[in-house]
Amino acid sequence: MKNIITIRGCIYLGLLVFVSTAGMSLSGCGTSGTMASLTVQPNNQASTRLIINNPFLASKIRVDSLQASFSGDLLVAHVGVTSTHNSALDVQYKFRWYDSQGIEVAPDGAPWQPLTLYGGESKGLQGVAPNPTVKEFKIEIRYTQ
Amino acid sequence: MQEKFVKTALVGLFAVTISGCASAPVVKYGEATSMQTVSTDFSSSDLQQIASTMVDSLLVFPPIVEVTNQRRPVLTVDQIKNKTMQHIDTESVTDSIRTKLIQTGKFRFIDRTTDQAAVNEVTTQQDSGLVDKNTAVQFGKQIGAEYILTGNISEIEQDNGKVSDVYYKFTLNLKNLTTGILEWSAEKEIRKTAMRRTFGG
Repeated sequence: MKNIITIRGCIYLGLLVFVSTAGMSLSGCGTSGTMASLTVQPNNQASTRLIINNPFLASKIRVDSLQASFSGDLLVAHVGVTSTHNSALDVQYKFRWYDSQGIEVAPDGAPWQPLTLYGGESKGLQGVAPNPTVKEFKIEIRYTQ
Repeated sequence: MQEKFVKTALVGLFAVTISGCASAPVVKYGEATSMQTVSTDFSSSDLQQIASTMVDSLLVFPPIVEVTNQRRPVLTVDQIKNKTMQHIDTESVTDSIRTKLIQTGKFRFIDRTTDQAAVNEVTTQQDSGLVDKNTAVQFGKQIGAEYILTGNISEIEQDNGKVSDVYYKFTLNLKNLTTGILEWSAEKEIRKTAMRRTFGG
């Protein structure tokens, strides 16, 4: 039991995925969750980066796809995640938004959202940028506190 | 005599220590946007989730995107009807939604709650003789809202003594004031479950 508490204590940031895009749609980022980091560059205008701060959480959840589209001039982020765990997994996620210079836009704007994934379940997450200056997004996934 | 004094001092020290612990709660700042699951009651994270979902839905709705690409429509907000058994500050929910929409730079809003203060100010500008008539604001120049946001929040609660389940549903509509047509509508559902432990806490 103590072991579980210790693990929960050190997974604060959990899984963190960073997507940079210059108006392009991209997909195909995947990880086994055991790798420390992964960079996929399907073209010269977009790049994705996966940062794992918590291998324990990363072993239970996989990021299947990262896509960015535009609705008018607002960036819309689409993220596909799959649970690789065989029972229900309660996590929370949050989008972070950045302008073309990499400066965070509305840092306190987006709330942490609950996400329950049942064994092996896949789900799509979507977020809309708070204003047209956003050109990059990041999604953070962590355990429910 | 000395032993009695030492005992009394130790008891006193113990009492001070205990009372010190009891009267000094540990206070710390928390993350305002983090999820909190203290109870199944309507919480700050529910409010934030609702505001975020509603704004996201409105911003990507194709007919609205088409309108906001051309101009910044003027909206007003009606009070959200609270159909739950709880006290929910629905104005706080609509304030969050309105703030996020204004921050996108795509919408403008009329705030009727500050009209009396505006009337007082314009009356002063017109009648007090203090303000230059060329710069004084005129009555009857305000812009009317094209759309009104209306909505309600409801709950379904079930409790069997061991499990308490609360389902919240928040609905928001955008009504065109000229045509009366509902141009957009969105729902956010939230389910919260609390299980009482058989043993312990």
